[in-house]
Amino acid sequence: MKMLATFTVNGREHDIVIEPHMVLADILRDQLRLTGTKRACSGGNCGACTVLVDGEPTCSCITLGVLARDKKIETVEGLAAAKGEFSALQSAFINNNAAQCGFCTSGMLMTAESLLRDNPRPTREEAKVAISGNICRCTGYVKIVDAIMDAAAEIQKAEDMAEEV
Amino acid sequence: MGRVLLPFEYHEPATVEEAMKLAAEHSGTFLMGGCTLVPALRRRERRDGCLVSLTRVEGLDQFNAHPKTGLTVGAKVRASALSPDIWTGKRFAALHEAVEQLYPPHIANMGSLVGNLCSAVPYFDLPTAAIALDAQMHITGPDGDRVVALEDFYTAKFKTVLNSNEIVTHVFCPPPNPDSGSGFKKIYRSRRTKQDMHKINAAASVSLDPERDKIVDARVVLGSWDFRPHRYRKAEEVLAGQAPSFELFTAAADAVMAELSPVTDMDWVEKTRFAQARVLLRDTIAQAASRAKSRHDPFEDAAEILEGAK
Repeated sequence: MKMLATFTVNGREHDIVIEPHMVLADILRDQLRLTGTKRACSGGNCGACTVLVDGEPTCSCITLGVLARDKKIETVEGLAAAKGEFSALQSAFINNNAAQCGFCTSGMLMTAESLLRDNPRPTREEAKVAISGNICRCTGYVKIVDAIMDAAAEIQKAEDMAEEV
Repeated sequence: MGRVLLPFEYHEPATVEEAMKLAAEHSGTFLMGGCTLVPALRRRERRDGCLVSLTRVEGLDQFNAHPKTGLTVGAKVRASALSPDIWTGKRFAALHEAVEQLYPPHIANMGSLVGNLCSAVPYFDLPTAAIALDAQMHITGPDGDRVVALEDFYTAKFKTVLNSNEIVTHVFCPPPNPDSGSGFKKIYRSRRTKQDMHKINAAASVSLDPERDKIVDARVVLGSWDFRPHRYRKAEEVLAGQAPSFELFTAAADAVMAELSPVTDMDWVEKTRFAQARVLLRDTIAQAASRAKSRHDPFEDAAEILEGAK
């Protein structure tokens, strides 16, 4: 039962042929070749597959592709600016050494991105609650939370400077 | 665990009638967010040949929460719609807390409240909280509409009173008493072995008399023990008519414990679980009573006065 579906991934529209039993993670990785999104537990427990669907963090491994049709999907590839510069959040992850093996990082980045959009000045507690659905098996949570707090401060500083100018 | 799902037919009806017809013709399963269904399909616990998606059905997205009209949540409303709502947080606190504590938090953006209630998984949190708020499932089917209390909704593990082509259009919680409060708590430890009974959840709602010194009515619910959350009437009788106190809450928790029977045959598991459930129940009832006692909402009371003036 093949069907033609339109996915808007990182602002670009893709028309692809999918089957209803395909999950979003497989469509993104295998058909669109956006391999930044990881498959880990495939059961919605670990958060490595997090993408933003209409701006909300979603486990793409248990979302059927058909349910994400015609929605705005953002993956980790869309975080960097057009010239390949890292976003403030990504730079903060690098500067804080928040990635150890790096497998959870794409999911962490997407969840943190949605947190910072909704709540530009989170407390440490709020950041911890937000990433509670993302599991890091290197257990490097302290540095990840540090990075999120740094990114929030950085974004705030940039906004303040823009206001002064 | 297979990585890929087995192929199935997929339909996306636009109206409730069409959805019921498709489900009857193809013996289909209704799908909303898929948070319970997709992992079950992947584990091959279920092999549904046909899914009927409700995501594009019109008229299932009503959401209304108000202390005077109650809480109405349509089948299409995601659980995350409940968390920013002010009245849900204030007057339907048990459900609000259960949604806030969903794990992983992404699930609230994906699954609907009604879908969670209908999946009838014994250890889910939202049914426990909803039973404490006296939720009623509004069901529509080819033979007409009916209303079933959530308490009588479950018939067995993963089984509900729903016929295969009936749809729950919305869930309704009646308006709470003016001086009432509710609470939800759970204990969740990571699961180490397959036999590990790693979760207990409890919810309670307490309503006080207008002077706020005696309990008029209470509902005490404990989940993750049987195939569905149960209300414990004996504990509610212990609470009714008494002044709220720590000793009373402990007595109510003990009344629940007297009705429980062990789930496993492992002594150490049962010892821990009984001890934890007792504390959890006591604290949940205390939380609900404290919310009832301290409820002070000038805004809500002003609305009442204004309505009286009309």
